[in-house]
Amino acid sequence: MDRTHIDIDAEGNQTERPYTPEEEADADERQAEAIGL
Amino acid sequence: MATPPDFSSGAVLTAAQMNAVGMWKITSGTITSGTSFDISSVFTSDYDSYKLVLTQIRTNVAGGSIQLRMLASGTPATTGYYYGVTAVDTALGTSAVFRGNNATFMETLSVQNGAVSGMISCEIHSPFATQYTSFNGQSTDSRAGASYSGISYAGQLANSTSYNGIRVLLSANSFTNCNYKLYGYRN
Repeated sequence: MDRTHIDIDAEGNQTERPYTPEEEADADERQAEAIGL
Repeated sequence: MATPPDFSSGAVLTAAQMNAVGMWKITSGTITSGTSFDISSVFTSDYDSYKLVLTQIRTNVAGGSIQLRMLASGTPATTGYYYGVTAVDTALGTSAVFRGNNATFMETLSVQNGAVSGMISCEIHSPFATQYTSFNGQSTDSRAGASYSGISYAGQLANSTSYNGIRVLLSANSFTNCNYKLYGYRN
């Protein structure tokens, strides 16, 4: 799955970017830790 | 003075009237893609308590839940979250409890159905102060069938860092829609 992240600045402008390798690893851990699923 | 919002047509609002407004919308918008998003530079010394409302949360695939992390100048806090969650299954009448003990995120257990809209309502207290940040709120587990649940959660981020933003993360999958609104409670 291609994970992406969106930054929203103070004016509400959105910038979307791919996850970094570190964020991908973190997301895998969060998915594993998610409760009640 | 009439209690706001009981204004008369054409009246000029005074500072006293405006200062009596108890809740102020700081920002709002809509996300239509992505696995996570940051709402940056929104917590300040102007307010101590905030309300984050996410509505019409829809995802490309069912199953992901909404997790939160506080941001200090764009850097997320990834440890020190302590929370308790209670979920009541609407079909079965059963309840389940979950906890995070020094977790890496604040769990809202807003589990997404995919096509059916989910939500969270989350109050965030003292994020900008150099005090613990605390959370309380409700959400829905909107998965189909017997898994519909009403959720209550509360917790804290156990450090004294000042935070000025928040990261909203799906535990899995991607948003196809998420309306966000952030309000500040007047001190």
